[in-house]
Amino acid sequence: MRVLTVLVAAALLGAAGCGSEDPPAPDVAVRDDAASAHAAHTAATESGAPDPVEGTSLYVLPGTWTDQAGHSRTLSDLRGRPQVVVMAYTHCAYACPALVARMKQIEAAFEGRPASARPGFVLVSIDPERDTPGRLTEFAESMRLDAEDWVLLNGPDDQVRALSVLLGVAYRATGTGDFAHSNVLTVLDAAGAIQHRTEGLSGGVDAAVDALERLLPQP
Amino acid sequence: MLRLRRVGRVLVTALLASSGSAVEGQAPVRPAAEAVVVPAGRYVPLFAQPGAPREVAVDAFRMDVHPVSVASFLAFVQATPAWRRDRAPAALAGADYLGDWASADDPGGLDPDRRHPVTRVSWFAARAYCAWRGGRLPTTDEWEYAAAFDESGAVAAGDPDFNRWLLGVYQSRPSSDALPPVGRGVPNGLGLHDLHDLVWEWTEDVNNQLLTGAGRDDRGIDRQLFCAAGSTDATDLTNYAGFLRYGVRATLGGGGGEPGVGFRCVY
Repeated sequence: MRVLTVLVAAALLGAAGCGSEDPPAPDVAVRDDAASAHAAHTAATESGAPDPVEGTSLYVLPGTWTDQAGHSRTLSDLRGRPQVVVMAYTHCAYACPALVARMKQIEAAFEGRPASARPGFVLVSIDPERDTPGRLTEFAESMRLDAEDWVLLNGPDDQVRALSVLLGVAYRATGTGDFAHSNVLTVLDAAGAIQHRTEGLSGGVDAAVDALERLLPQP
Repeated sequence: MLRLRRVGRVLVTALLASSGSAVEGQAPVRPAAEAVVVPAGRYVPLFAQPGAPREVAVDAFRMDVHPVSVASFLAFVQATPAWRRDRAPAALAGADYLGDWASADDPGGLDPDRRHPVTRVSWFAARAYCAWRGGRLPTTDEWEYAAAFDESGAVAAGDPDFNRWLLGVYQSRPSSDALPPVGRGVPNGLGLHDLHDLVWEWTEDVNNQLLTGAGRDDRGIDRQLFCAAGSTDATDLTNYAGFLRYGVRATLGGGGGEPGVGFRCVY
């Protein structure tokens, strides 16, 4: 049993070490990927009226989420300003703090600007069972996330899976309390269409900041 | 593996002995749905995490006997116009969605019965169809487990002969442009048809594999992209048929409609 515990601990350390302990990644996967949003084709609203712009928006996903304050939210509530979106879980020892740190780097690039010229930041939990709204509040406080700009979302598994498919975030529970997941940072425009993706944790945030600059009104 | 096979055989034998009529008696939610019980059991998935149990327990569920046919999907589109190819949101059903149909409400083709499997259906549309039928897409574990039963009803995952047979089946698949009707050939021991020899099939957690890139970037595993991915181990390095299935799933984006990819529902 003790041996097993040690093995599990070693495996978890291995998991947590993804990134800092690893050899440097040969390629920095940073690229614009508007193609993911499938720009072609016509689209429909509930009423059935085609709306090509609306069709590429991720905000067509139905469902109700709960934010860190316990309020009910739909993705559509994020409409109106560009958003930086990641999917992660708060019990993750390494990658998730690193993802949040990158989001805060982006936030810092827009510091001092009025709210209308700043992006919003969205963290969607892939571990809704443990990332309760209360847990998300604690996480937001410990990471000093400004409630005006940051939304942390808890939702049912099927909604989380649907969003992950749209964002190109692969994940699964490892069976050891952890999740294997890809680290993807996505920039959505004010309508919710994907305008930029950064994959991995090794590159900088310049490309994401540039994408946001193009989407935000100049101060 | 021998033990596993025995468990599977015992379960199936018990099922057949005790409840043949019960299986037939489980009325589908909508007419024309033919589903059979996949008994609870355990199997060893292709990928496992060190420290996690290799065997995965799968609860019993009912599964469509065939992949969804064009006729069935047409009924869905007619009943749910929001999923017509000219109405569905582009983010959830890309330009290829039902792209081989003659028009938004006419699959075209020469087969009046439209018994061939529907393909070029996005993951979102497949999910919506299964919800409409009162079901859902199978998880990858459920699909792999059900598909691991061989014709005799044994759990054959990991059996070299079974894997060799599968590889041959994958190589001799019909062209995705001219698919034959569903339900040809011999079902596996559970009564499930076409699991391997017709189309790839969507699963609910289709994006649970952290094999990167395939389809999005270059191939290979970039450990930088993942938390814990570096610790993912394949349980059977000789299971080429399994790698092929997982690899195909990893290339699917979800929003598109892919040729050669269909689906079936579970309940």
